[in-house]
Amino acid sequence: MIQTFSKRINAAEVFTLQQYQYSDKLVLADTVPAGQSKLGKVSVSNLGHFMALIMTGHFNTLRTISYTLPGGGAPTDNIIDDGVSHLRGLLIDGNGQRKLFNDYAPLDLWLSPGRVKFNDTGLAVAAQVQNNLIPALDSVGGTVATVAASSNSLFYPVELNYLFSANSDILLDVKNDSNTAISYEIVFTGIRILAKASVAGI
Amino acid sequence: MLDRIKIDPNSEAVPNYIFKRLNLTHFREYFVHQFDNGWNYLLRQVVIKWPEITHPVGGLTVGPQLYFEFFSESGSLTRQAQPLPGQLFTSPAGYDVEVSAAPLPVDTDCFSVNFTAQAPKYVAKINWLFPYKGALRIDITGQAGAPIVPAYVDIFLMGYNVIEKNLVQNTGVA
Repeated sequence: MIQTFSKRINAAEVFTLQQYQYSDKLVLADTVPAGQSKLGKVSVSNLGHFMALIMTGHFNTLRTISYTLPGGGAPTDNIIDDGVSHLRGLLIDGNGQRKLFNDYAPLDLWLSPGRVKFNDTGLAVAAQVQNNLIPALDSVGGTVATVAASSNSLFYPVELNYLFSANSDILLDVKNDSNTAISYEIVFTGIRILAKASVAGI
Repeated sequence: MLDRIKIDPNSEAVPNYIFKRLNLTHFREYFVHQFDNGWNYLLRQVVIKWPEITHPVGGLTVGPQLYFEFFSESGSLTRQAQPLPGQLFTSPAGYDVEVSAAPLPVDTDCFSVNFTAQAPKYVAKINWLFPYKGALRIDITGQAGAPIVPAYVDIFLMGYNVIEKNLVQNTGVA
């Protein structure tokens, strides 16, 4: 027999509890310029502390190469999705600048589902080639760049049990070694613990 | 499950996630990490990734199966009877999954320093508490060839520093 809940749920108790603590999510999203590092941050706010439990996220894998489009002419710089992990990040608790990682770790190691294939449909053929949705061919039909396949990723939320203080920031210092700007988005799922001032009178 | 969380602002367990890219230059390679003094270390899970298939000019190179054995350096204590192949203790797992960049002209020398982000990673749940001043050692075998393939392994330890209360630096009492 499977027991889903270890004890009976008292609705009145839970509703009272949810006045003080409830499930919350913080989103940290940013775009890192080509060949640079950037400090992304999300504010915990003065609402109360945030007890992080798990983190999930995704990112692009883009770079720019120069080749001639099927229409001919001079080579042009075009963005392709090469499926290579170009971002690495270091997570920091803004309260006291405490580093939670020892080094910059590639995002594909600790984010799930991780890499998302760049997909911008509804474009003209030239633009589809530019976005690597179809193979890029040079002026005589030779393949310049194949298409990086979609990722066979499983959704595997990564644990991060940590209490971020109210009025602090969650910081992520990200380095991008690609020659193209790349975006990422991370969600911290956890529990908001409201400050006394937020629940005064309850 | 639905109980109020009691907050200890001086929370004892602090995330300390450790990343290292280990070059494989021998047929038996060691990853050793010394944990901080004053803290026990609770290792929750290990994420491992390495190039299993690479794209040299002229064809594919399929890397050999790698085996991992975990030790606590305090007494060379092993938690395994023998080294295990990656996909038998981790999830998700997939051998013959391409992890090096494929599209030309990227990675024509098959030893690119960039992994693809496409392949799933190996994740192993460990739940192993290491004593302060202890060390984790991972023995890696299975790599072969000249030059050795795969060229490197990415290792990401996900664990927490847990304060050791009995040490004088944490109690303030000599």
